[in-house]
Amino acid sequence: MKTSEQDYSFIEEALPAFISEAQEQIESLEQLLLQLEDSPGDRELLDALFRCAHTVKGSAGIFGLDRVVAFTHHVETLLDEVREGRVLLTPELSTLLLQCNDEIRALISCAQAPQSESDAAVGARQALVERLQAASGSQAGAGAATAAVAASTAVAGSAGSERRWFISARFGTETFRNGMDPLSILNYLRGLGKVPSLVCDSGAVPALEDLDPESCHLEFEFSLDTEAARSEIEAAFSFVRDDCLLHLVEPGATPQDFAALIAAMPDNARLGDILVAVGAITRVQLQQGLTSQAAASCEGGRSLPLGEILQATTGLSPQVVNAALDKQQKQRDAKGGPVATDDNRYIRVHADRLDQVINLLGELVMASAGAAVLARQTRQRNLMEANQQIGTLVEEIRNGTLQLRMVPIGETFSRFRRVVRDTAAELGKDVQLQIVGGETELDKSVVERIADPLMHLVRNALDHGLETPEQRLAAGKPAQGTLTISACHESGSILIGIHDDGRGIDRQRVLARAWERGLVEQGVVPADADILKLIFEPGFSTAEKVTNLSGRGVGMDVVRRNIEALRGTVTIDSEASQGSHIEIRLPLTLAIIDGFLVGVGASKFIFPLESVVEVIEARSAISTPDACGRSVVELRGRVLPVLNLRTLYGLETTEPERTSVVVIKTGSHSYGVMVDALLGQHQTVIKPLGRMFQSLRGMSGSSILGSGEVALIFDVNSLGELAAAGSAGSTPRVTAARGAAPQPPSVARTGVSPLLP
Amino acid sequence: MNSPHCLPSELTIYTACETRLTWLSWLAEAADTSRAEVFAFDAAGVQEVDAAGVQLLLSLQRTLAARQQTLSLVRPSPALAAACQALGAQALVAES
Repeated sequence: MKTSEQDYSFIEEALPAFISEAQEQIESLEQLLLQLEDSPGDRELLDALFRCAHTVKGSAGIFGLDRVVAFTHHVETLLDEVREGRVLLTPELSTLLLQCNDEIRALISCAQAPQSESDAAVGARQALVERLQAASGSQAGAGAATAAVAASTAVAGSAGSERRWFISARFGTETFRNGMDPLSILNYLRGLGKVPSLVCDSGAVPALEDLDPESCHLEFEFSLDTEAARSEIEAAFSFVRDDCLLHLVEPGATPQDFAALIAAMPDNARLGDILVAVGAITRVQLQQGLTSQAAASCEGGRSLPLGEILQATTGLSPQVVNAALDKQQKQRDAKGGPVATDDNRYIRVHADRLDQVINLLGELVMASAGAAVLARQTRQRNLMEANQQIGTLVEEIRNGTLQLRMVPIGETFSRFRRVVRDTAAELGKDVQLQIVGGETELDKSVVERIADPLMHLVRNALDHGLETPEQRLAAGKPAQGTLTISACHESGSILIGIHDDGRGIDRQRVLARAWERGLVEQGVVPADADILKLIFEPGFSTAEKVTNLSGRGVGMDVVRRNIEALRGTVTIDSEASQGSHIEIRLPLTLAIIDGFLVGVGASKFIFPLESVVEVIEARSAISTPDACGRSVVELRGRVLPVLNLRTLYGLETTEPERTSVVVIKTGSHSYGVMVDALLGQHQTVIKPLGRMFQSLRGMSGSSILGSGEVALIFDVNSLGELAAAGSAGSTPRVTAARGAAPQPPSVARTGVSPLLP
Repeated sequence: MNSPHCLPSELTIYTACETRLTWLSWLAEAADTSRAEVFAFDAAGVQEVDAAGVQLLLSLQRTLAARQQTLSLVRPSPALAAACQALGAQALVAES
């Protein structure tokens, strides 16, 4: 019984890994299904789809998860039919498969805590199975006919004519262990036709000391003269298809095909070998080329590069040679760096551990800043230098560590595909989702916390923004609506845009609702941009028809609060019948930033360094500030609004003779801030604002300096609004009415800044 | 050159682990006793061979190459010659 106990404990340990991997497979299943809707019949996608399902089934079998195996088997059967073209992947079928995928996901998450199922759950699954079977069966008749036609055309296409295929097969490491033998596969292929040339690339085979003799490292490049169709050749690899990289180049391949094949080839090859391997030239031609190259150099003449010789003698396309040369160059480049193989590039790290490191790092940054201050006070040069070096290293570690938490936002975006698909179908709308800039990276914790607000905005756009196909056609727009989600980096923050080409926001309705709800005094008409801001107010909802998606009135204000909690901002722009554009600006990280430390009197403040453009001397030309500390200064012929912090925050100290103006840029606006002292760059560990400061506008956090003093970190966007409020004309009391975002009381209605030219 | 070692009659995935260990011990011995440039094996007795077996030979060849030695398979059996041919590893059994 000992063995079974061991088995059990092994399964116990390995199960979480299986579950997380299976979840990834399920996620990619979903993505593949959605991608297939855009490009139906894509063979690669279909193959990948089938493999995903197959992998889930296979590994579930190892863990004895019989329910998963039994159910996935039906899905796999249907996918196989689809892959072979016997069943068409209609939207209905796609929906069914997505539902089945959800079921597999549910089954897998149950695997962690096995329990008996309710009859209802079993019944629901049985219903799905029946639908799956019906789908495989019902279309099979029609499908068989198409298959027969396809087969006959395939035969007609190749009948009697032998064609040369170029095949590259890279067997997976598990090939031997799965009981497969590349030798028999190659021998089987020889039964299909002639193999005029075959190269075994043994470059990946390790030396005997390091070899696991049961792992397969063999790769083959060969050509095959045969009458067989692609499917017949592929069938030879069907048992190893899961982990075998297989490339088939059709007869009559173009230089582009060869170039693509070369790019996909494993590394460690010489130019000639690469070209022979993909079948661009023959061994004999290569030998001749090499001989003439050697002869040329013997005669003392300049020896031409092999690529050029081959181009001249065999009429090889320069494009193919260049692709091969590129490949070689990449190999050399790769060898310069650390040994990077395809596998093991990623390690999984528990997020808690990473967080712990980040927290410690914050402490380290503060401690090192403290040590630097003490060192400066001792005035010992050696100590100061040593401290400076530590500071540099800490900064590097900080950057590196924060980089570890950066993840591409695309994963979050691609989750919306399903949402958009299902929601649009539910609402009877036809919507295409476009994702731009999915590779943009930001802090994982930000990604996690922005997902829900984004989801809400996407749903909102689908529900309220985009019209039904009939309405769109009536408005002279294409029936299919477009929803674009984009992300990009801009000066230390990330910009996320959600754009739809729907009906836009009706300002009159927004205003009417705002009057009705008392958000704005009856009859007062704020500026256009401010009307749109009203939809982010608590308790605001314009949907006349309350659906189960949105319109419950808990929407946009929660979205705004969530975004602001991330130190971000959200703005909305809309044009009637042209659509709406929502822009979210978020900081890249929540933990530590590069700051620019300044002093005003005894107080210290920090600007995020990336928002600081320049520092100018405050000359006498500066105008007298108004009651809120706003004034203007001329900077290279342009008027720059300037804030006086002393007046704004009521700091009771006298102004020194010399002051500086720090020029800050946020988005497209610039403004200046008057400060007494410039204290230089500072690594800033962001701490939340104390309760006392939370009502203070223009601040986003606090930080503890090396000396133990507390510095306040500016939120440059809201500070910019304070600076601009004066010059932007009359400011409606939009937010002040709700008291959600406190403003200095005097900011509201001063009208035009007294000193604007 | 001392009398060559004999390759086993079965050179397949089933015996690969065992064979590897044997060869490693031969290599260790040889490193102590001889610095011959050619490391010869009598390959006449190989009856069964598969891709794992050929891979093992390729791996051995690589190890020897790293020690500036060449692998020579003497009198390769038809089974071995055919397998090497089929797998594009004919250089292993080429007449030298």
